[in-house]
Amino acid sequence: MRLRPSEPLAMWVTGAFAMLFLASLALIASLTWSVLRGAWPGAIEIAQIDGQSTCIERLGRSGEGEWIRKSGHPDAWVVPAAALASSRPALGHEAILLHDGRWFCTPRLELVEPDRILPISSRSLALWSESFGQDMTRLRQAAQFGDTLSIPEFQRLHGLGMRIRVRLLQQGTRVELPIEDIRLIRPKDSGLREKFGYFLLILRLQISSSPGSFASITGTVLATVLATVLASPLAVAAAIWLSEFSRPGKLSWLFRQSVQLLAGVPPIVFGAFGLAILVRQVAPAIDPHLAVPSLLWASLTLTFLALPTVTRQAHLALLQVPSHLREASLCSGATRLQTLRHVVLPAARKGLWAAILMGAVQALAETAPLLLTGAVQLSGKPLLGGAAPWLHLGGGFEHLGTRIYHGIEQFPPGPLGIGAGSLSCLVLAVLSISLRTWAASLRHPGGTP
Amino acid sequence: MTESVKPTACHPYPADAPLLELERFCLVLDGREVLSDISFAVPKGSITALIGPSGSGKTALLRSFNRMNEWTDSVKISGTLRFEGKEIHSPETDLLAHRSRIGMVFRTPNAFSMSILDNVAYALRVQGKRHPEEGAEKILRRVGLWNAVKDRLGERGDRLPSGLQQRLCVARALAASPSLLLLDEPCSVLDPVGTAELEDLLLSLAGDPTVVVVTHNPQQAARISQYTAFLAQGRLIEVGPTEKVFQRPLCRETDDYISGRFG
Repeated sequence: MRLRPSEPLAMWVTGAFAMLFLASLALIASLTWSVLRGAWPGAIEIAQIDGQSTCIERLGRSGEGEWIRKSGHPDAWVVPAAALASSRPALGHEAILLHDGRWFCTPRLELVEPDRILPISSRSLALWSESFGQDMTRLRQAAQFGDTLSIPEFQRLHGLGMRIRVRLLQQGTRVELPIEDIRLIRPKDSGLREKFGYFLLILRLQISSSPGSFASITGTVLATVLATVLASPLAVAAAIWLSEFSRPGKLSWLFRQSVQLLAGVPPIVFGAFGLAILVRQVAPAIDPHLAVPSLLWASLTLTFLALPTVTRQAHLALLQVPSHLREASLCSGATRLQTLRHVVLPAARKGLWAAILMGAVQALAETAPLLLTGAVQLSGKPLLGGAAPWLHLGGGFEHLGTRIYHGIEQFPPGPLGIGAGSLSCLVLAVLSISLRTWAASLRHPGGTP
Repeated sequence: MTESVKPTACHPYPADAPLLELERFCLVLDGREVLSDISFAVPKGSITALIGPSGSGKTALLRSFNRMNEWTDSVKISGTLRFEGKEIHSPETDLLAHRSRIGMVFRTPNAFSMSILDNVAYALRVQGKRHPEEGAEKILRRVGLWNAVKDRLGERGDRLPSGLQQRLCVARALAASPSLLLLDEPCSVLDPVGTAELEDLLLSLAGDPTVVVVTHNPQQAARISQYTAFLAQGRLIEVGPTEKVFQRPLCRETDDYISGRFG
C-alpha cells in the first residue's frame, strides 16, 4: 500500500508541534525547579515546642549565627542570645530584625534581663538610657524611627549585661525556650530524601500554623463562590436574551461587542476599577464603614471579571442547541418562554453549568485585582462563624493567589515563605484544574478537550 | 426582451374544499425572493408531496404554512395563503393557535430531552390542557410505537434510535389533533427500513390529518402521495394528481426531474 505523499509530511509537522509543546512544558518545569532550588534556604531551625516541630525562620542564608526571626507567627520576633554572642561582624548585616523586607528594631522586640522582661517602649528605654547611657539612646532612636543598629552596636548592649532569649508567640500563648533546643538543619546539603522530608514538614507547618493556609483557602473559595453566584444569573440572562430574544440588529451587535471588549480588559484594570469606583465612590454612598478594600468589593470586582466569560460561554452553549428543537416546540403551539423553559434550557443545561464553572475558574485564578480590592497578607480574623450574620464580608481576607505572591516575593527567601507559596500554588492549581476538568466533562462527555 | 414567465402547468384535480389555498403567493426571505407566484390548493384529507431540486423553495413553502419562516428570517409576503378558508397572515390571526392546529416533523429526528410520555404530551401541555398524558397511548398506537416503548415511557425520548425517534416526533406532532401535518424530508437520515416504516405510517393515517410532505426523492412522492407539486427555482412548475404528474407530465422540466435527468 502506498501512502499519499502529504500524509508523512502532515505527520511530521503535527508531530513536531506536539514535541515543541511538550518541550516547552519541560522547560517551564525545569525553570520552576531551578527557581525553587535557588530560593531554598541554607539552613532551617527546627524547635520542639509542646512536642511539635516548629520552624524558626532564619534571617539570611549566609550561614549560622545570624539573627533569627520566628515566623510561624509573623507577629513574633526572636533574637537568640547565642546567635548574638557568636555573631560575626564580618557578615556585614547592618540590621537587627526583618520586617517587610527591612531590618529595624520594633517595639515588639523584648529584651530579657536575667530577672525581668522589659518590653521596649519609650518609657523603658528612658529608664534604660539612664543606666546604659549613650548606647541606650541609640537603641531608642532605632525603636522609634525604625532605624537600624549594627551588630557591633548590639553586641555592645549584650556586653553591657542584657540577656536575650528566644521567645515565641504561638497561637496567642508565649513560649520561651533556650537557644540550645533549636536544632539547625541544612536542607541544601542533605540528600534528596531529606530535602523532600523537610519540604513536607514545611508544608505541614504551613497548614497547621494559624492563621495559615486554611484562612486563605476559605478566603479564596468564598470570593470565588460569591463572584460566581453574583455573576451567573446576570450572565445567563444576558446570554438567553442574546440567543433567544434579540433580533439581529444594532442593539445585539453592540451588546456582543461590549461583552468581547470586557473579556479583553486586563484583570488589573478591573482591580483599579474596583478600588477607584466601588471602594472609593460606591461604598461611601452606601455606608462610610464599607469604604475599605474588603471581601465584598473584591468579590464584586471578580463578578465583573467573570461576567463576560460566563456570558460568552453560556451564549455558545445556547447556540449549540439545534434551532429545529426550538422550531419543533414552537410548532406545537408553545410560546417562546415555554420553549425556553421546556426545551432550550434542558438541552443546554450541561453547557450552561460548564459556563458557570468557567466563570468560577476565572474568578478563582485571578490575583491582580484582589491586591487592590481587599486581599491582605494577614487578615487576623475568620471570615466565617462568630456572630450573626456569620459571614464577614466587610474586612480584608487572605487569598491563595496573593499568598503565592507574598510568599515567593519575600526577601530574603525563607522556607516558610517558599512553603506557603508552594502549598498555595498546589491548592490553587488543584482547585482550578478540577473545576476546568469538570466543566470540560460537562461540555464534552466523550472526553475530548 | 424580457423572458415571459411560464404559468404553472396544472392538471385538473378536485379542489372544492381545499384545506390550504395559495393565490399568487410570493415570499421574500432576508431580501431574497424565495418563492414567486405560487398558486395551488391542498385538498383536505390528502397526502401532497412537494418535490424539486435543492434550493427550489420546497421547505420555505412548507414553512410558510405554519409561518415558521418568520421565526428565523425577516419575511415579506404578497398574495394570499388561506388555511381552512382564513387568510393566515391577517392581523387577527392568533399565531399560537394557528401553529397548534398544524403539526410539523423535521429532517432530523428531534425528540426533546424529556421522557417519551412527556414528548407526546408536550403540545397539549403547552396549550394548557389538563391531563395531557391521557391520549398518549392512542397516539403511540397510531404511529406503531406503543409495543416498542410501552415498558419504558419514562425513558428519555431523545435517546431512542433514529427510526423510532422520528416516529415519536410524528406522535408529538399528532398529539394535539392537528388538521394538517407538515413533514420536511422526514426520511433523510433514516435507513431503508425506517423509511419504509415511516411511509407506511403516513399512508396509515388515511388522510386524518391532511399531510404535506417535502421530499427530494421523487419515488417516495410516487409511493405515498395523491397529489404532487413540482417546484424549481422558487416557482411552481407543475401540480396535479401524482399519477398524472409522473406518467404524463406537462412540462419538460418535470419529466427531466422525475426521470432523474437533472436535480
